Amino acid sequence: MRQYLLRRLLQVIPTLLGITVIVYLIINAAPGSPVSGMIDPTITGEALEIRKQQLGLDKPVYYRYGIWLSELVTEGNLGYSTRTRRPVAEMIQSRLGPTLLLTMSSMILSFIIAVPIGVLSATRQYSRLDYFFTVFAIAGVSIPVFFLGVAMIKIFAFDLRLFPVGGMSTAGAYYSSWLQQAADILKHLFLPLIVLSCAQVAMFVRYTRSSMLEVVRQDYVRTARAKGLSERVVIYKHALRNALIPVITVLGLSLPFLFSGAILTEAVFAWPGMGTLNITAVTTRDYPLLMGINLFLALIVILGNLLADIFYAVADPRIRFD
Amino acid sequence: MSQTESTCISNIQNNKSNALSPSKLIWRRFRRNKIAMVSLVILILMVILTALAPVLATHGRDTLSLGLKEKPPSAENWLGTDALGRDIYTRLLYGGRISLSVGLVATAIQLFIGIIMGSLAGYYGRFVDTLIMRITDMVLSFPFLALAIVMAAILGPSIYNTMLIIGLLSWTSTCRIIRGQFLSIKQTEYMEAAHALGLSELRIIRRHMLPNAMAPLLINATLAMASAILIEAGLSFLGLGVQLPTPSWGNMLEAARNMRYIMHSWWLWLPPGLCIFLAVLSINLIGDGLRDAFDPRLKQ
Amino acid sequence: MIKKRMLFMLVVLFLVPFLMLTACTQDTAPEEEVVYELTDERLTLTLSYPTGNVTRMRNAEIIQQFLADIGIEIELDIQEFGTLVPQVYEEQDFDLYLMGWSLALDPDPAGIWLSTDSWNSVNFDHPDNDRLIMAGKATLDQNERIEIYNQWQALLVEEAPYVWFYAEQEAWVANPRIANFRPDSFGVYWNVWDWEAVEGADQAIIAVWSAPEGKLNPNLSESVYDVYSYDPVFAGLMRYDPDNNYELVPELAKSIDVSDDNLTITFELRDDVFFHDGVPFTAEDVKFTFEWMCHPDYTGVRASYWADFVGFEEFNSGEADDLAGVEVVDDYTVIFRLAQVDAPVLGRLATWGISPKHVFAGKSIADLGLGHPAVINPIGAGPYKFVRYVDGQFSEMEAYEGFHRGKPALNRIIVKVAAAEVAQAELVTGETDIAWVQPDVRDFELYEAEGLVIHDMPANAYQYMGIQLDHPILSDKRVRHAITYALDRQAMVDNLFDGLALEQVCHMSSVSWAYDPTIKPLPFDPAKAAELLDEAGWRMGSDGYRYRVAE
Repeated sequence: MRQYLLRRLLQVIPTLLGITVIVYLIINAAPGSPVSGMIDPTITGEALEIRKQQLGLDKPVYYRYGIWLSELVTEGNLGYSTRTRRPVAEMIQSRLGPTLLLTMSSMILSFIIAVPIGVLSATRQYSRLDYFFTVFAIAGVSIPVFFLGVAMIKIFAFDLRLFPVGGMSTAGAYYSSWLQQAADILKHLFLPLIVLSCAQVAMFVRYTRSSMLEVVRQDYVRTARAKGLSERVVIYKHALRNALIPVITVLGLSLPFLFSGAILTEAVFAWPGMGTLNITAVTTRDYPLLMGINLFLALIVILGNLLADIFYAVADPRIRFD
Repeated sequence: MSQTESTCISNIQNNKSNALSPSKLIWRRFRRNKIAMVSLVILILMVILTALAPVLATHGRDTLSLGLKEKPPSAENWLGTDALGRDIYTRLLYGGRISLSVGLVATAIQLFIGIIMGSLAGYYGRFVDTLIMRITDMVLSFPFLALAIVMAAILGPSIYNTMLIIGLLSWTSTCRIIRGQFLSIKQTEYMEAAHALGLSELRIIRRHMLPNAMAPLLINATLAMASAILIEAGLSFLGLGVQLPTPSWGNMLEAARNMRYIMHSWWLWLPPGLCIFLAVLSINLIGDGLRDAFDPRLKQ
Repeated sequence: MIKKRMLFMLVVLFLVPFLMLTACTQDTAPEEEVVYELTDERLTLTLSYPTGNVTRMRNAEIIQQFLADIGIEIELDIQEFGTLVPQVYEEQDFDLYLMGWSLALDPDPAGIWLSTDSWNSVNFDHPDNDRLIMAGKATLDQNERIEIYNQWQALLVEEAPYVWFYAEQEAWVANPRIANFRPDSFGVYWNVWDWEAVEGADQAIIAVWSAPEGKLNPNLSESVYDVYSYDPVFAGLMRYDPDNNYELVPELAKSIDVSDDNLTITFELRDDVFFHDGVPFTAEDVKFTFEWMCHPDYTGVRASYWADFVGFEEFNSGEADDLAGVEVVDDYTVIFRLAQVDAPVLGRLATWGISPKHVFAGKSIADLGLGHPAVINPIGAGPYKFVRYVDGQFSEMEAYEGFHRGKPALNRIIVKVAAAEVAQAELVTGETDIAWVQPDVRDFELYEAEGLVIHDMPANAYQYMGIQLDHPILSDKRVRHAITYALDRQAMVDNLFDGLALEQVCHMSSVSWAYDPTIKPLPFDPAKAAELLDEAGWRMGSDGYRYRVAE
């Protein structure tokens, strides 16, 4: 077990390295450069050339990658954004919080909502409730995120004026207490959270349901029932615990999709997270920032996968390692 | 002997059988699932309608009619006109072709890559296997859309690039399934027996592994197609997928960005949105139905 | 098998001459009896255009249709913006392309139209072009400049290096509770010290479409969104007075004196001005502001603005440690010296926001560009003090009591980020007071119904189609004129914008003093276009497209 852990942890590094190389090659393959967007009739071509030199763009790709990598490894320095000239780490830091807030709370909320529904659906298989939830769940993954987001804005923010239209907090507000600030943020968080969670809930409901179905057929459940235990104890104490194992691992594995969905949600709701930063970085060919963001996201996802695998291995004693 | 007995014996002698083959059995189970059947019908209907777009269209696909901007549905334009006066009903049909074919081709690409990679990993094992698994890790570790955006920026926005991008980024699950099949086959006695019998490995793969893999592959393919359609919609919405004037349900939905269109001109965005929803929903329900049909443990 | 192949060949053999016959027997003008033999060269051109501007994308399709009507086949080539820009401006690899220009306050077109070292993507190098442009820069007399620019524009219309399309309207929508908000085509903050909240909270929230880059200083900023976030924080030696026809009136300076040869400009500075941190403003700050931009290690892009300062070359290359063109005579007197007369420079240097020297001292010029705290939290001498910048969300400014003309009436200004669609909704819900919006007739109805005030005006910008003058087909002026005649620009304006745009005739914006209302563009005349193409050797084929006439 320990060996497996060590091996997996060690494998993280070459994986990350591989990712950085691929990303760097890909984004440099994109035609255009950080100065391409600077189309200003008052700026001379000479100024652009100087700017290119300052950004080190006159050096070849592998040279620049080498510099980036060495700076990262020796100083922990992610470089400076070519667009804003601020440290990449600082830019990511200021945007990371909102994204994590959105994605993590979505994951937790989805889990809390989905599990009871999934259990209910599984225990009453083939009932009308089951059909309803199943179709509802599948519908949830079938709606394009931005479609739902825009519709929610129209109904809840615009027509009903219940929630703010976008952003993370009321602009320019000063709070008398952190409670007030939290309340403001929650108010802004509500709609994007619902939109992002729709697909998550749907996915978890299905996994929970199928997992429960499988567990409920096991012999030990039959034994528990035969022992005279109440149905509730059987389901919630014995079956659910085992059924949740694959679901939790799926939690970890769903991180990449969660972040993808977050990108669109952030775009629609003007949520100041890493999603919009990523899109801007791509269109402005901001190489250092792109590398920083993608490295970070990859790291989170890899760690998520690792934790899921570890959890799975710990929780299910039947797993052996090859 | 009884009538039945003699019929049976003669059937066996003639190599006929009343028993249903596995695929027939699965089909029968699938047929019983009403929801899945309805979805199948809807999907087939959609495919037929969009394939017949040139026949069913009432106007030219790209014909502009600047004087008829944003007209609501009428006898002349069944679903109204868009911001440049183009007929929405016509563009919905043609757009469906694009969206559905992007889904299809992207799925085909990812199946192709996935099967090859999975086979290589499963067949050769050890180093090749680890290498390919690490590559899948790398591809999986990417927030899909982030990488899709980057690739769309490089390759330029277009239909074919969108198909390619989606295909290139989704092959991991297929790969895993195929690899799993290979691994499980390797450990059974099939292989030993086959070796003893002198059968070629290709034959085993074909006759034993592939049929078993069919089930999860098929389910995976349907789900992949559903998500491919959604991703294409997302990319087109961001301006990185299919470009105007070519319509796709995704870039027609882009009209939903403007608050005014949302409020006053529902015919601009509701039809494509509903179409995407319906298509993806049907495909997902079919996939679900397939999953239930393939599962022998379900009570009948 | 063989039979099939023979059949196929026979068919082809019959088809080809048949096609050629039909192609060749196309009638053109009824009077002419000559039958034109057409080559296979079809009149096909590629129209490249970028993503990102939906109206422009629609315009491309409209152009395609108009030109197909006179027999020109247009292939649409859409590219991502960042990909197209170097392709057009560095490699000049295009036939036709769609793009827009945002213009500056001074109408000087050198940056775009000089034949060298400019954004002249189309290779326009008519001899009179450079001569007229340089002449326009060399005099400060506005009437003389108008005369020169009129001649220059006439030249452009004749030579047709561009097809000019439209100048969109710009619109700012404001909640009436903010009084005295008067934006125009050149900016919104002209009279910011006069703004007042006549009801409700004592602040104004302004929504802009994109987050600033965080370069909140006139020397460094490269994005208009940064400008919105810092403009009221800085003050220049003079300012443009919108109530007085944009004449220059004193701000941080008491008086200005321009020598007879227009090469020496002397400013007498006020002695009662303090920066937001309480430090007094002196001539040293003026010199610092300009030396920063001319310094060899300067990280911004504005150095070329001051290229006409005396001693610029020496200072910029590092030979001299002092910029001779800006001289500090005493604490409250500064003299600018120019090597040659340069009309746009005067306005620029007089109104450039002055940065405080003492805040930036101690760091090398190169470091000033890398996230210096005073660049994210700027300090200036303008009517508003900068309070804070929350990344990606908003920036906040507060009225400055020590402003030399008195504390502004409106206490706070907040500039926040909201996507265009979101900004529209927020205006109605009241979460935003002022927003830049896409001009749209039905949106305007909505705003008016809610009691909001609409300020719409022509933008100081235009959209155009660039024509590659070195292209074998397009180098023929008749073809360029034909293209212009074939496009109904007024219809484009009417249909794409419901009238909320102006047809753009030539380079000068309709809001600029250099605008010539008498210039007549080539009208919409498809018959004339067809005639010109015929003359140029392109005749209509049987498939509706034109082919080059054989010699």
